[in-house]
Amino acid sequence: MDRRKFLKIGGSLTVGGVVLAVVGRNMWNLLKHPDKVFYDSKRTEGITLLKEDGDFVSPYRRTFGFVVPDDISAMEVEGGSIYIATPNNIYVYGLSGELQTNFPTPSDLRDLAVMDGRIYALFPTRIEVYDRQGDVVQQWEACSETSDYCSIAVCKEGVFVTDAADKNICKYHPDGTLARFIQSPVGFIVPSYCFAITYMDGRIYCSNPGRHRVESYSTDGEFLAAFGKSGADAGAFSGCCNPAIITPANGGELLTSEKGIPRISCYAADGQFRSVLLDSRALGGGHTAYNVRVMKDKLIVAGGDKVSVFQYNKSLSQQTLCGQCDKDCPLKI
Amino acid sequence: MNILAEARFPKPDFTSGYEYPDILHGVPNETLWNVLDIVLLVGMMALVVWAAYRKRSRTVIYAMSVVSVLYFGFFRSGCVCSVGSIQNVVTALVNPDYHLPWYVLLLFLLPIVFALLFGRVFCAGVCPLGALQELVNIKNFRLARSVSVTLSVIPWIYLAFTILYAATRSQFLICRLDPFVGIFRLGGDLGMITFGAVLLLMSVFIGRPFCQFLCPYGALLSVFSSLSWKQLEITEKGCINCALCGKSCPVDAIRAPQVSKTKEERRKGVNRIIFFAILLPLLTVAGAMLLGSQSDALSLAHKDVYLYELLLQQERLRVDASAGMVQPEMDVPLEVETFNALGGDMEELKAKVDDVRRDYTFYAYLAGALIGFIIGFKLLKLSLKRSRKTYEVSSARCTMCGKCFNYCPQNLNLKKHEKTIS
Amino acid sequence: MSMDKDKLKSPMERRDFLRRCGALVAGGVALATGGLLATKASGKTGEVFWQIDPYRCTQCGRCETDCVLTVSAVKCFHANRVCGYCDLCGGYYRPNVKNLNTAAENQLCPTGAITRKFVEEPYFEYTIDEALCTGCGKCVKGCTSFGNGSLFLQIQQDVCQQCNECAIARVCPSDAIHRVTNEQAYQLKDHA
Repeated sequence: MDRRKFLKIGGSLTVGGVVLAVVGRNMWNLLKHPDKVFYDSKRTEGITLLKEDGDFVSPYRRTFGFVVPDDISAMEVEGGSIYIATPNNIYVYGLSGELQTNFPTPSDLRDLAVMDGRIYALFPTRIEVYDRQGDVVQQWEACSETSDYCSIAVCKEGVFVTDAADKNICKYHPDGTLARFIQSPVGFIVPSYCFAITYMDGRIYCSNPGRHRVESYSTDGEFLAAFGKSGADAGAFSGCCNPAIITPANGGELLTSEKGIPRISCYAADGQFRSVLLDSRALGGGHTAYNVRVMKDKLIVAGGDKVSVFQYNKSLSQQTLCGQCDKDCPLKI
Repeated sequence: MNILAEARFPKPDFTSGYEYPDILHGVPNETLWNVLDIVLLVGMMALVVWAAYRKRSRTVIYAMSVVSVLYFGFFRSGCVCSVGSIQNVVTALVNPDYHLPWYVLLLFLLPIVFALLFGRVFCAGVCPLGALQELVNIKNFRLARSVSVTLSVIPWIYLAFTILYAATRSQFLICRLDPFVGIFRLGGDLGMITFGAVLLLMSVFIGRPFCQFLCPYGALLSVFSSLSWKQLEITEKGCINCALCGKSCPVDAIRAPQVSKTKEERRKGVNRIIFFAILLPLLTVAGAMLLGSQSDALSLAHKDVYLYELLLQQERLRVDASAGMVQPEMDVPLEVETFNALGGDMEELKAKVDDVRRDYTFYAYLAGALIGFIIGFKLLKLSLKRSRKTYEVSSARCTMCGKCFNYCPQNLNLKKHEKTIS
Repeated sequence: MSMDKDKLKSPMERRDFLRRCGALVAGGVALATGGLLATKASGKTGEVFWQIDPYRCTQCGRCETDCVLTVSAVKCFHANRVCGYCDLCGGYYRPNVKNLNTAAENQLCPTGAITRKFVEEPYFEYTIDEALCTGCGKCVKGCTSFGNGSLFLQIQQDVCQQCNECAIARVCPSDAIHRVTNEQAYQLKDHA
């Protein structure tokens, strides 16, 4: 065989062999494990921005709950009864969920407060007071035409109402006449209809939602103190306007409820952060604020159309800040 | 992962007269280029027809290659190409909802129509992949006929798998294995670019390795061009059997004259043909069975099937971990994590996977049958001895590069004659 | 057999005849396929684009790494009309930020592509500098987890190569990338 032909055949066989080998190997891979050819299962990356705070354990357990006929706009507790306001009605329940009474109301009810069996219902431009049968015993109009009322707190010194439009607090005497306006020394910033107010131990506590802080005033309207900072972690207020709801814990502590990342936290009256009581998971997720009140040793939480009762659980509390807190707290009986 | 039906934070009410900015986004300008693509495609193919049949000029065809590499290759990044259009067309045939753009359909059909009329004009200088190989070709070593015929089955296997994956909507295989798009795009997967570089290196010494041994569209065109209305003649003056053209053809597409000195017994010839004719359906069936039996394994190429298998694997690992047999710390693949986080339903997925697997069974049999048929057909064709008096172009293989024109002495004489006249 | 020779055509003519028949069949098949597909394609404008469905996207980060282009064609867009304009922005700040300023260590964005501008008390406007954005999706994840979800990833049509098979779509874990027609060419989260 002459050299040229030898080279030609040899060369062809080499090239052909290489091509066939490569093609054959690829075909084999396609038949045996196509997933390795087309996909790469080793890729486990994802972005973990904030590790799920799986470390947080709530010391409160849901012991009981009931459903109300409609979405809950406001809630208040007094003397063993839970007062629930829905868009067109007010329902009064006992602690075991039994309906005690109910009566219709105008539709744009914003907030409720109860004192001595009288139900103070707050509307954007007026206040109506009902008795337990649903009869109007007192009512008055807002003090200014531009008012847009958000929250109400009642004590024997008067009725305090927060105004989201005029960005101030209106104090009314118990007979309904305007006592005064209360301004914040740094100015109230109210980005949305979320301007909480409550009364505890002779003081008025309200939120300054745009500034992420809780401010306290005397019942005469004098600024006393403020606490709170911005942040997403525990002990701070997240988003644009928080806390959405403030309520006393009957031991001198304040409970705050936030929206965006719903959670219920406990602060001392001087502003020291105690603990998160219920986080988003324990509350049931979502991003609207859950209304919360304290009744003796129970937490009453309202969200959507459900009312839940949470009770402190001693065994779960071992690892939590709540359990380590040495304050004499009525919730921790 | 959150579909916010209602925003967490309320819309601000601006008191300072702030106005929302609009979202600015670039607008694509595709339509014009697509029209130009089709116009150039038709124009260049027509030019090649004229250059090959009338003028017999390689210069024009070579010039087309340069234009093709620059425009279809580097400027349009070699995507969408006619080779890949097979996938779109197959998907559109199988799936009535699939949107097939008109220019992709034309990219698929026009070269076929030209092939049916004039031969593989597209391959000549219009296909950017072929043109790129053409431009780097310096020396021409030809492979032994037996080797090159064996290797010519590969484009059909590629085509069969392409159809399989496209019909089951699993993968665009051609886009995945395209060697030259990385070079045209000036960037891409390292493996792809290496493959392209190796093929280009081979193209320096061997004529058009991709076109001969790999291109699935070439396989399709070869069917149409073998039946073409006009068959290319190297010279109009008549062949003098000098054998120069045969030696010059880079893809070994010119068949030498074959006049057998001793006439073969007819009976022997008939027997041989009958043998291969019977072998053909047997091979088809064998191919179908072979590939069809692997259809479940093949189906893993589909995204849903892959996800399903991953989920099952995770289940198994979890069971093993709880039984204490495996380390519990394992990285969960992102697909599984996402599926669970989005609330995926295993039952629904299983139904989808069953559908896909059913498709795979059908198309795997089809693809296997195609491969078997092609092998049988090639064997049959090889067994048919054709007598030929002069050098002829095998239009199935000829990519119309035009190299042979300048080697044929009849053509050179003609040109000299024309020159002396003028 | 040789007696029938004058009846049979010569081998060349027979070959030609077979070839013509075959060509007719092949041509018929090609035209039929073409016609069938053309009727399907005729109603549409023909342009198709790759787009991310911003509501399916899970911000896995593969948009940044898998695009065939060196700088991904995917960028973050901001639907200002959906934004809450919060001081403490979930997409701008990293989760446990202490001070709400523009310091780089407080920002989520690895290239500092988000600019924060004071509008009025207490609202801040956040804008994406497209030249710096790499499409990593960290801000998007923050915004969807802690904010209104006004930041979202989307494929820029003037940069995208419109590959026949999108390399990112291949590996998207939530299968959020699909081809859409001209009418739906930009899927934005821009409703008020």
